[in-house]
Amino acid sequence: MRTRAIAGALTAALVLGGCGYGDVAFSGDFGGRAFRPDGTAFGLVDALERLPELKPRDPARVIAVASFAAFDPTADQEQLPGSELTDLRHAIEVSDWFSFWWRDRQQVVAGSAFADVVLIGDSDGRYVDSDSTATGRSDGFQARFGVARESLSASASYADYRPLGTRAVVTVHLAEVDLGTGGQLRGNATFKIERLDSDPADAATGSVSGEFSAPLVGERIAEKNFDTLDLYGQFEVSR
Amino acid sequence: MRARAAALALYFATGCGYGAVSVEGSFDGERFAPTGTVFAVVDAHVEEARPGGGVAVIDRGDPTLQLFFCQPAIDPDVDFAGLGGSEIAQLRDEVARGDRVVLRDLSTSTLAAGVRLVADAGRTDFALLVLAGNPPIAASDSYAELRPLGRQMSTLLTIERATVEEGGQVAGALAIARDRAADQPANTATGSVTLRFDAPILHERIGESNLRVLGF
Repeated sequence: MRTRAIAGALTAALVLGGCGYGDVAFSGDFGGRAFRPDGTAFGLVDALERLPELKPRDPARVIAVASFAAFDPTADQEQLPGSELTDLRHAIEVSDWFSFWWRDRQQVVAGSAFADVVLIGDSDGRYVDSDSTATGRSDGFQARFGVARESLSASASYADYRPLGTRAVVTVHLAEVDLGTGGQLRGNATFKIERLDSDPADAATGSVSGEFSAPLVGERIAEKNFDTLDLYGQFEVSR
Repeated sequence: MRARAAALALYFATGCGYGAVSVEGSFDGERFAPTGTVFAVVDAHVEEARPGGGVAVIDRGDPTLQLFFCQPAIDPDVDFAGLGGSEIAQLRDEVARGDRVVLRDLSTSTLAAGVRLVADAGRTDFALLVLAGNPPIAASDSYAELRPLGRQMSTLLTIERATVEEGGQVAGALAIARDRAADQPANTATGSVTLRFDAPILHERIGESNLRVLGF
């Protein structure tokens, strides 16, 4: 119980204090809306399939994740007291985040570059639908990201509502890759939101870019936290 | 408990409530009092998935009005989704524990002083959800004392004043009559409750967002 209380206090401090894990330093905005998933960044090598039985995944995939919400991805988040876990899930859901998915670890080498084109899936600012008709996408690479929910005032109206542009181009360049224990993924990323012809004329566009450093976390703890925090659902990717 | 009280104070009013509701009548002595909060929202826009990707916000054409009553006093001018996750859970629990009424699909083109609208087995001028809360029970309470509420319901909404716009108000009376359905026991609680209300009309975006957070 004491361990649980300490873990809870630690996570509460992380969520509120923004101490963070990993490193993300982005600049730019989408028509005045910032994008700062800089509370937590981590990566993992997904080398095992869990269902229907534990067996090697061939090829192993590599994942990098970042969120504005600050938490410790090396701690088992399921052990948090219920209210703190609820706070953390909600904070992750409504704040800035991104995730990068490489189908084959052999692709993930220093000096490589990747691109994906994604469409906004709903009015909550989540770019989770890869545009299969777009050119320039890298085979075996998926990017997903979400822009923090707008805070509503009592007088917010649809007349003032400015949607985000529907299409986004995400490019990633990896400067350093170490997929061994204690390794990390380091590189830079650019998120460029564009307006489709069918978007309203005032749809917000813009570009955010910068560097990220995602320390690798053990596969088992990382995947348990993905389940606990419903990250597979949020990123709309398969387990 | 102190922490909980402090957290709730962020969005629970101090008992004066939001909007104004008074109750007349009961269901055979069973109190029904969604009197802490009443507000309305004009639903004038709808989100639609666009072919080729993205979501469009378009005018609905014939705006409809939603009317929401609940027992606790809450402040719907606060953006509920901006609260912490556990505060949202507390808010939902508090609302779910008390009596609630939700009216939907009231055509705004018909709302004017003197209009009478009905929802019963034969006529449906609006969609209606009437949810009785869960009052506390004692260790010695048994099912023998449990009186179900009559399931056969008819409602009459009488509009007394209506300024149907964001920042406007709608006032009137909602009479809810409950009768025993054929398959209900003889001790079923029946009767009529009238809610006299004066409901501020919230701005659509925050009103709809807050109703979604509350699960409506």
